[in-house]
Amino acid sequence: MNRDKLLVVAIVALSLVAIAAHFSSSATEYGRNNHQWNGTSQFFGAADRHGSVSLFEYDLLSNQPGTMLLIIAPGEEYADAEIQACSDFLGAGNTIFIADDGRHSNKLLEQLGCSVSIVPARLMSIDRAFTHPDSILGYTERSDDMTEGVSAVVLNRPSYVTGGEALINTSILTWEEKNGNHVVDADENLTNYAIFSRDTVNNGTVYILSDPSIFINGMQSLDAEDNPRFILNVLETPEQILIDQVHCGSAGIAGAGSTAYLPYSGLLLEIIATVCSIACIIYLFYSKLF
Amino acid sequence: MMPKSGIMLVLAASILFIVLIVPFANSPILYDVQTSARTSHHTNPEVFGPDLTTTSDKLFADMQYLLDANEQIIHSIRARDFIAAIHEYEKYDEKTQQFNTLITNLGLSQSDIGTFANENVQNREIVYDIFIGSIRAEQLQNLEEMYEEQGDTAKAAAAREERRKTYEALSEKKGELIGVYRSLATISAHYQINDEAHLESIRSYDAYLRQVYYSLTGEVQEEPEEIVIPTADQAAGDEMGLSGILPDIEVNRDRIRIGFQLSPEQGRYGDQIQITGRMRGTDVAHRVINIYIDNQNWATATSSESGSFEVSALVEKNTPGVHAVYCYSGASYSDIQLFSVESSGSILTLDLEEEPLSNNFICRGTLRAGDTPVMNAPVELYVNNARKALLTTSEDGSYETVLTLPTGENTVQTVFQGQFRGFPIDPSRSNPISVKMGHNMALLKGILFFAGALIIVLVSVRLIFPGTITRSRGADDGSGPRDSMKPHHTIRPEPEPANPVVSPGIAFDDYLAHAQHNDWLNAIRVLYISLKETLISKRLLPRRRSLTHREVSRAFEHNEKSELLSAFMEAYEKIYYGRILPERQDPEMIAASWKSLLNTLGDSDHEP
Repeated sequence: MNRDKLLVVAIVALSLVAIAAHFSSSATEYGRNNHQWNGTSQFFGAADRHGSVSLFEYDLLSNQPGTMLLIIAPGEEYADAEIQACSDFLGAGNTIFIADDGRHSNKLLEQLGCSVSIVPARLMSIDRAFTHPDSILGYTERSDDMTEGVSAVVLNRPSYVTGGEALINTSILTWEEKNGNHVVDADENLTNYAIFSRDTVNNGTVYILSDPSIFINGMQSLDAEDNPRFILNVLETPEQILIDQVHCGSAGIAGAGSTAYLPYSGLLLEIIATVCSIACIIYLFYSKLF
Repeated sequence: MMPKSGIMLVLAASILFIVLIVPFANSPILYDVQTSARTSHHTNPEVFGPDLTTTSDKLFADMQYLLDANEQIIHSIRARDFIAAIHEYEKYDEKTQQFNTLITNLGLSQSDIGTFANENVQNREIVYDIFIGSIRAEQLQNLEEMYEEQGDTAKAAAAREERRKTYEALSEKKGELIGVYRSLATISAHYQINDEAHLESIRSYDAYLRQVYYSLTGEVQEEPEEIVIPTADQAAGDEMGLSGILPDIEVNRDRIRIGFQLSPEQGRYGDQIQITGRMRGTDVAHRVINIYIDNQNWATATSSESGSFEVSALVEKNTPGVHAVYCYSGASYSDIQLFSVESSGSILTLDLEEEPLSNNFICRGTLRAGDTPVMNAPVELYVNNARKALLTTSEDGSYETVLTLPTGENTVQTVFQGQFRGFPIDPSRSNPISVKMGHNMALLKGILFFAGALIIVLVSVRLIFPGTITRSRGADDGSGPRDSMKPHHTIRPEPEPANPVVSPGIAFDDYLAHAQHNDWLNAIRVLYISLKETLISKRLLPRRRSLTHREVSRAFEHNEKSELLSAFMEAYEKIYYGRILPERQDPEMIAASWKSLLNTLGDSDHEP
């Protein structure tokens, strides 16, 4: 193959890579195959390395001793049979870890007999890690395996929980933003809000985290405060981790085999397209085609 | 370049073109996510900005400092060390301003911490009044002693009277101090901040007042009793909480009296307040009367022959709440009249106008309290929560500046701190305006877009209509790598427009004539045209002007004549399109293949 053909093939190949990157990325919120900032590909990569198992059917929850079911941002309500399966699962002394901002977990929690409920809200706080008002800080209130070595975590637009034993709270200078003006109004009180709580239900343990965003890629890359330690505590639990793929935002997207995506393909796309275009123009200039 | 490579290039250029335009036409969610700062569930951490240094620890430390500040100031006043007191006060005043700015920036003005800040401002003013009053009491005491030494009992009595009035004013301040303490203590208890030092400052002030009292009455000072702060209920029947602590002092009323009235007795920002009064006594005509509000000159009037005076004053930079207004002329003071200022709501607007071909924006807006423009008011300009400029409103309440924004997503907002800047106006913020400053990629994308389109069009035209676009450079004068591949010798001139060839014989003659002059381009061309015409006349090819030599070859691909035809067509393509001079034996081969081809077609009219 001569040099011309090699060059043309290289240009075409690069173009195909750019197109592949463009079309193969997923933008699903909390998507395990979403490599953008709002996906959970990094967390699921780490979970795979820690031997987690995906759960595609709730019937399989029975006969699973010493297991923790991890539910991240469920996208739909739970059926009665699934709730019963969860109840039996807890009855066997197992653990359920729910990370949700209050969309679809409250029915599950209520029917499990859990005293904790998630209140969808927009919290703001003086105590935040960065200038952005959504980057509020949660401080460890009680010691637990999940909060070992964690003194503060950076949250990302969390809701809050009521009931149970609060493990992580916001500082007292936190308020529920009701009208979106980002300042405390007369009807917005400064107080502590529980972000992460624990409850004992039916001989099992339920953890409720009102900020699933802590698992997204953007937060993983942030590497701020004790977030990495908190994630590690979740993944290094001595129990076998099952990850809900039935209801969660992390499920139902792309195929299991679609792993060859490029992170930050938007930027790469522009770079590749620009380089290829310039190369093409230079090549044409010297090729005497015109 | 071979046409096949050209087609591949078109393919590559087309793909690049698609890649460039697809982001604008397809997969909008993906690109929204890539470029957007937030979704309904979270914010892209990339726009979190720099680390924040302010936390509740710092805020509570500031609150603790403010609560503790009174103690040292009052202690210095009590010790008559006014220099130390003013130094402590200045630090307290500066910290108060910083704290107020901080909580405005943090959006806490409407919270109980905002109330704490307001009460602290009130406390600061009370402490300042105490400081000024205590100095005046000290000066009057010195005057009184001096007049007594000089035997001027009348002046000594006047000084003593003034000192008594000052004492009364200082006594009232204790009640105000206690009122503020109650409010501050409630809030500080909620946040577990220690208020013991503040309480101790009130005890210290009480002891100081006793000193002043005993110096006025000449009584022997008793052991001070511990002050008990009355609760809100207890204080209800005793507004100042003073009964039982300090006795009244007899008043000497033999002096010039100044009486005045305020109309109305309350106002808002921008209101004109009419002040009318009268001086009673001897020699009251044409005297200058200074009207003070909270120890600051508010207006100046001149009395008439009868001693009456009238002047109007404007409510401008007076904090909301009750203010003490008094007049004095020479050594004569009026009683204090209370004037209350109500807070007005404010509206702060902000508009951004982009200056063309730059990253500059003209920021302009107005500040109004109701319908009244607020003049000379400080307006802070924030970009991404960082203060960039402090602007001042003009007479019509407007402000304007030019702002250069950095690359990325920016939020621009202006803030007016209202009461914390001494105005009887609520703090307000303009609506935040988000501005995304790109990397000026639009121009680059536009150029690439245009270049891609141009390449596709040119290459397509070149391939479909060969020869319709003239070459910008000759085959031998270029500097590109292909130019370095020297042909055996140049082929000139460019091919002439082919004349219709009437018969193969004439065509062969033309071929030989051109070949003798090394004009191989036209030589091979006349043979090709003649061959094509012959094939068309034999109905072996369709009569189509745009028929290419490839199509001619393909027409005989599976024919028994294909070998002969392909030999000729290869030579034709090599010479005519590749412009490669035939080797020594090639002319004979071309002529032979052409003759054989015509023979097989049954057309022997090819001999000269």
